[in-house]
Amino acid sequence: MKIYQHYSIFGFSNSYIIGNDDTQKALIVDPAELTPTMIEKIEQNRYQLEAILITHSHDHHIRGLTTIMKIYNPIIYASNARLFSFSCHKVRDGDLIEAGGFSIQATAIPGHSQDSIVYLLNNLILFTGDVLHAGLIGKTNSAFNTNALAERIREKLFSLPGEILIFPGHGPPSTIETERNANISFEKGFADQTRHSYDFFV
Amino acid sequence: MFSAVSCTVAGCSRLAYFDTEFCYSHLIEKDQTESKRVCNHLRQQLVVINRVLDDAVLTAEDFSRLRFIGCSIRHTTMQHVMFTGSSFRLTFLDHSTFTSCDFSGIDMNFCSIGNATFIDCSFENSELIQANFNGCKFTDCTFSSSNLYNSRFMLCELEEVHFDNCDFKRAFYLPRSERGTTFVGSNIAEAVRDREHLYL
Repeated sequence: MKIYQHYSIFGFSNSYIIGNDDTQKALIVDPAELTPTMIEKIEQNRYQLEAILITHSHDHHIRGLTTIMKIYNPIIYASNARLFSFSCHKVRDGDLIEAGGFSIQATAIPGHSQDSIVYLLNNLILFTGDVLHAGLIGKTNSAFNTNALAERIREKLFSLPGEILIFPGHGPPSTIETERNANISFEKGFADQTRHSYDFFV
Repeated sequence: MFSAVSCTVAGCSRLAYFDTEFCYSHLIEKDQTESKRVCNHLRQQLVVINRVLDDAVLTAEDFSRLRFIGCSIRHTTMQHVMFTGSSFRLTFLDHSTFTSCDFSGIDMNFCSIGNATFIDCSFENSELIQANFNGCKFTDCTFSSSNLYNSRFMLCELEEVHFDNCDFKRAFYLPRSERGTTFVGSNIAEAVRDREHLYL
């Protein structure tokens, strides 16, 4: 498994290309954009782009779909039936996806958005989108939703082995173990101290 | 680039150690000299790609100007190790302890160093872009003249740490405790420093 991280200035979000050298197939997680560098990574390694994994449908995580679908013909996995004009393979909580030679476990964790899904690849690497960032959980529109999201993360993600690596939709990477110990969103009273709004920029 | 192969021992979710099929703890049961072999190999390299060095214990090593790409160096203990002018890309150094180590002039991009302990370490003149320092303990350390773009210092414990002439653009700076920290000539106002503005 090879992972390339791409930092997009559009929304300051992270996109990832995951390549499998055994099968010569690749996946993209949250294509904020498709840059010449990303195409180069796919082409230089002679990968066949087999699938796109969408963690949630906010524009700055899926904007690159339009360019990708002009060049490649991957299956789009998302919890939505359609994104832009493209039909998607609908993913539900607990689904096990086999794509690109990887085993991918999907877990629905709504809170930041209704359609938020996290993907666990080969029990090693977790793509959290905006559900969980390094030191912080995703933004919601109320203190109640922040607490609910924190509870879901504690239940569904913090029960995973500490060694699992986290690749979020924004900001630096982390590990489950680090998040259990140093995430400000799990501090007492956090939800009441943050400002909530409907602006889902991050 | 990050490449991962897990330990072949049933039920172990750790990554396999440096050219082997086992994680460090399962390997060390078989071969006590493994740490020496790794250091000898690293010293001869210019670029270290996709290597797992978890749990290693290293003292007085010089890894200056080495490039670490897609490496896992977690739960390590390092003393007097030089990383001067090295670069780290997509590398994980979480839960490690660094004593009197030199990270000055490093180029770090998209790395996680969460819950690590740094005592008497220098990060002077470094590019620390998208680095995760959450939960770290820093004692007598300096980040002077460094670029901390989009890095995170949340729930850290800072004692006598210098952030003079640093660029805090898009950085998150919310330590758990701090004593004797200095920000002379830094744009600390650019950093996210309170919970109310975490998402703005």
